[in-house]
Amino acid sequence: MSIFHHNGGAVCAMIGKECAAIATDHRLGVGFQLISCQRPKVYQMGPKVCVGVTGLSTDAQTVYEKLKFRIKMYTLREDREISPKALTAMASAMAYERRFGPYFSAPVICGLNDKNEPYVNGMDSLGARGDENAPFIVDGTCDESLMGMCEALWKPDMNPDELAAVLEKCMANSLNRDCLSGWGMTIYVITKDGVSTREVQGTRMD
Amino acid sequence: PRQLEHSETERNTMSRWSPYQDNGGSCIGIGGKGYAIIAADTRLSSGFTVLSRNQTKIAKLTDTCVIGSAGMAADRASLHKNLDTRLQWYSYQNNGAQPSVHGISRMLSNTLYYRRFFPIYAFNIVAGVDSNDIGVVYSYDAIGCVEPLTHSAAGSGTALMDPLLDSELRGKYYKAFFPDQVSSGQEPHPNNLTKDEALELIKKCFKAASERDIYTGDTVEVKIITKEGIENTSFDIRAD
Repeated sequence: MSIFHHNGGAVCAMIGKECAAIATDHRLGVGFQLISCQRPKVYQMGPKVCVGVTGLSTDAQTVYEKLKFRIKMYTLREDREISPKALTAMASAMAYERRFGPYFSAPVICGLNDKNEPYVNGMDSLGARGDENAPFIVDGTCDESLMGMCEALWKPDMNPDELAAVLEKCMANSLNRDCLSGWGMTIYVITKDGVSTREVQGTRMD
Repeated sequence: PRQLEHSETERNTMSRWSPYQDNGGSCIGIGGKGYAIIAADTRLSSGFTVLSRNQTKIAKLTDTCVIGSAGMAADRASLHKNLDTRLQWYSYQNNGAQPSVHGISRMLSNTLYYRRFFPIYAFNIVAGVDSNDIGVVYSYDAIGCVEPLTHSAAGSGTALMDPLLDSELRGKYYKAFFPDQVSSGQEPHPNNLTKDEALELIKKCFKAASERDIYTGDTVEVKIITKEGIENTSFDIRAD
């Protein structure tokens, strides 16, 4: 099994009309054994920015903590909140610092900038960023399933409720087909009013 | 240190010749009340090259049963020919009768397990309508593990298409599908889509898969089986 699939986990982020949403599963495992079903992979890094980190759990935790530290330093120095685009660049640079001994995790950034324009982006473990105008970013053990679902169900200019419903459908069905991720699901919807969190009930707990 | 033999160094670095090849492509089967549909793309690839844009993956077995196989083209062609021959013999030995889709499903499972230690590299879906107008899809792995389902995907686009089919067709809690219980009226058919809704779902699946899977593309060939017979249709998807 690939090192990225050792602990399991999946994250999916999408943009809508002046809103963005990111979803995570809750499983933490060691190979096929389950360790915890209360381990979401998404963290809120600012009033309108969330970051999801998939991959090897130890590296995901380290990347999250290092990123949190650097964001706090950014906020102190710049005296303003970090925009998702800048956060992406920061995470990418941080990953490339470890070019020849990388962190086995891939961050997914999701948020609104100060003009309330939605932005999602992701990168691989070496810091190669995706398309700036991506409609959705997927990562994790069921990334192919998520890709197929998002490709079929995403449409432009969805309002927050529609976006959450589509994201839930994409995520739930992909997690249900993957044994390495699942065990619960949380959706974070980011609008100009901030981040609202919702734990989704009724997904397969296996 | 000992001088390594030439064959020893080669063994460590050279990749061994393999009798198998993955020629790519995807296949979907959906079975509902009174119909069964098989759809497969027509692209044949090898590595990053497209060898043909018009190579079928589907074969008609009887008037009520069709098989679609993804995986290796050579093994698929050989398997379909083999099945066709066996079915001709069945009809000679049984006064012109044709086996039911359930019978064919069991025959294919045995055929595949016969080659347990040198498998046929074909991932099959058998779809058909039985005598009680129940549409069913039988899904296989390479060595003959078979299960009756209402929907299945096979091939390179499986991971992309399976969850999309689930979202429309599989309820919140998975319940196994037993065609004989549906036939005898003990249970309703779990698939409540009409034939046209199922076809629209298939189009959606292939359009999504062709965007993100490099081995799926060109045209999709569709065979719709009802008790009246088999209807052929096709639609285009991305050719890049």
